[in-house]
Amino acid sequence: MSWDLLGHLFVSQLSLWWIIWPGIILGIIVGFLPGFNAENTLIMLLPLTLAMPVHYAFAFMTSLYCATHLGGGIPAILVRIPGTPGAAATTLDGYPLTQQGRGQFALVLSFFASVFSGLFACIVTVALLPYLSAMGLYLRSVEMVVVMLFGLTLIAVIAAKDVLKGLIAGLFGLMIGMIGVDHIYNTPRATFGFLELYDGVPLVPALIGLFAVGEALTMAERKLIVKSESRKVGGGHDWGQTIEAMHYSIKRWWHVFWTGMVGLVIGIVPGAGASIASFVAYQQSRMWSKHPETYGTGEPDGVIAAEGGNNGVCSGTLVPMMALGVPGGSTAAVMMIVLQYHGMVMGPQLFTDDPELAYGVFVGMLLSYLFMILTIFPLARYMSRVVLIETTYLVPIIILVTVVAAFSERQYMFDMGVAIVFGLIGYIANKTDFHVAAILIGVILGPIFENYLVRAMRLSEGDPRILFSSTLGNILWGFLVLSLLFPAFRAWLKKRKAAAA
Amino acid sequence: MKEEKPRALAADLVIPVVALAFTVYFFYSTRELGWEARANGLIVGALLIVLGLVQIGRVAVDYVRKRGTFSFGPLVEPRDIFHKRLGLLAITIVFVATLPWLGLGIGLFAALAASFALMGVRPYARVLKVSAIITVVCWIGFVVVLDIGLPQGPLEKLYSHFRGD
Repeated sequence: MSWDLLGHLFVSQLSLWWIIWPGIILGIIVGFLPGFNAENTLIMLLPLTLAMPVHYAFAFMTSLYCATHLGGGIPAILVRIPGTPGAAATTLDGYPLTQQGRGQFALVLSFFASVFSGLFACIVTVALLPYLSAMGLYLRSVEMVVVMLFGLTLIAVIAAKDVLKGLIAGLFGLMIGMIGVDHIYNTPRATFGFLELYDGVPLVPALIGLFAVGEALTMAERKLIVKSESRKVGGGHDWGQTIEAMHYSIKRWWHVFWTGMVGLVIGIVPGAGASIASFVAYQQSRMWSKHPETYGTGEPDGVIAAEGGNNGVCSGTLVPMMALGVPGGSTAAVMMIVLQYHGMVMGPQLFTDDPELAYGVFVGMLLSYLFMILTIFPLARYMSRVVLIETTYLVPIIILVTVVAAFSERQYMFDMGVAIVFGLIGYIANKTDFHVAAILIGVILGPIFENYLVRAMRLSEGDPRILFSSTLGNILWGFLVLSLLFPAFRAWLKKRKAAAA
Repeated sequence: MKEEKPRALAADLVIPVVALAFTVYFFYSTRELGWEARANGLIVGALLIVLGLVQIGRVAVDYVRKRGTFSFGPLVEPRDIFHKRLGLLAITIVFVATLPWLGLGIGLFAALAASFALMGVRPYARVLKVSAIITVVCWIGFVVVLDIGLPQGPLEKLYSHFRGD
C-alpha cells in the first residue's frame, strides 16, 4: 500500500467523524452493560447499517466494535463486573486498585492500554496484512491447544496463594465448561435435563453470576466499595490520578505494545477471541514481571496487560475476514453480512478490487481509537465516583439489573436462573478464597480447549504425538515451558544473589 | 497480642463438595458416550476428585488438631448482613419468577423498593423515589431502546398497544 493511498484513506475516513463518534459512544455504553456486546447490537442495528453506503456502515460498525472492548473494562474496574467476557481478566488488578481508592488511576490505565494497544495493532495490521492473513492458516488445532494452555496456566498462577483451593476452583470451572453437547457426537453431557444447557453453560449469565451477583452479595457488609483506609485517596477527584496513570502508561509503552500484539495474533485465529487473548496476555505479563507477587493485588501492569490483549484482538478479528473471507469471530460474521449484502466479495481480491474499503476498515479503526482518546479520558475522573455510592443502594441495583441483563443474550428466562446459581457459587468462592477468576477461566477456556484438543486427536486417530508434530507448535511448547520455568529460575537466582550478599 | 479467630472449617468444604458432586454426576451422565466425549471430563474430573479428597483430608486434620471449628463462619457472618443477603436472594428469585406476569416495569420497581427497604434505606419516600428513577432508566433502556424481548407485563402491554404492535 502506497503512502498516497494511506493519506487519502486517512482524510476520507476522517470525513466520517459524524458516524464514528456515535458508534464510539454507543459502543462504550454497550460494552459497559453486561449481557450486551457488539455482536447483538450490530444485529439489532442491521436495518440501519444495511441501508447505509458500505463505507459509512463499516466506519460505524468498527468504531462501535472497538469501543465495546474499551467499555467492558469500566465496570470490571469499578464494581468488579466485566462488561464483556474479554474484560474478565481486568478485574484481577483493576478492582483491587479501586478498593485502594485508585479507581480513576485504574480507569485511565485501562483506557490508555485499550486505545494504544488498539492503535498499535491497527498500524501493524495495515503494514503487515498479507503476512498476518497467512498466520491464521498456520495456527491450527495443534498450535491452538498450546495457546489455550498459556491461558489455562493462569489458573496455577492465581492459585499461588493457596495452590489447592486455586486448582480445585480452576478444575471445577473446567468441569462446568464441559456441560453441553460434545464436539463429535453432539450428545448432551451433564445438562441436568435442561435443553437450555445443550449449547453449554451460557457465558454471560455465568459471568454476571460469578462476578456481579457474587461480588454484590459479598460487598453488602461494607458501607462503600472503597476500603475504609483508602477513602481519603478515593475521595480526591482531581486530575492527579489521571495524570499519574498517563505518565505510568507512557513509561510502560512497550508493555502496552506487546500485550496488544498478543491480542492481535490470537484475534487472527478464527474462533479465538478477546477472553482468551486477555488471559494469555495477563498470564504472560505476570510470568515475565520482575514482581509477579503483586499481580492480583492491584498491579498496574496487570490492568495494562489484560486490556492490551483485550483490545489488540479487534484488528486481528477482521484480518481473516478481509483477507480470506473467513470471519474471525461472531461480530466479524455480522459485519460480513453487511459486506455481502452490498455485493462485496471477501478475500485477496478485495485488496485489488476495492483497496479503499479493504485498507479503509483498518484506517477507520485507527481513527476510532484516536477519537476515543478525546471521548473517554476526561470522563475517568467522573466515572470513578461510582465507588462512592453506598452499598445499600449499589447492591440491590447491581443484583437486579444484571440479572435482567443476563436475559438479553439468548432471551431465555432460564439464563436469569443461571445467573442466580452462579451468583451463589461466586459468593461462596469469594468468602472462602476459592478464586472466582480461576473458576471463570475454566468456564471460558475449557470448552474451547476441549474443542481444539478433540479436533487434533481426531485428526491423528487418537495419537497424542500429533500435539508435537508441527514446527510452530513445538516452538510454542518451548515458550510455554520456558515461561513456566522462568519465574522459578529467577526466584532461584534472586535467592542465590541474596545468599551471596 | 491480638487473638486469632478460629478458622471455620466447614465453609472450606462447600465448594469441594459441590465440585465432587458435580463430577460424579458428570461421570454418571456420560457413562455411555464415546471416548472423545468423555476423555477431557475423565482427566479433569479424576484430578478434581483427588484434589477434593485432599482438601477434605486437610480440613479433617485441621479439625482433629483443633486448628478451627466445624462451622460456616465466613458464609453466614455477620448475622444481620447474612439475613439481608438471604432476603436479597429471595427478592431476586421472586422477581424472576413473577417477571412473566408483572413485566419489567412493575416487577423491577417492586423488587428494588423491597431490596432498598431491606438494606436499610430510609425514609421510605426516598426508597420509592430511587426505585422509580432506576426502574424508568432500565425500562427505557431494556424495553424501549434495546427491546431485549422480556416477557410483557401490564405496563409493557400498554406500551405495545400505544405503539401499535
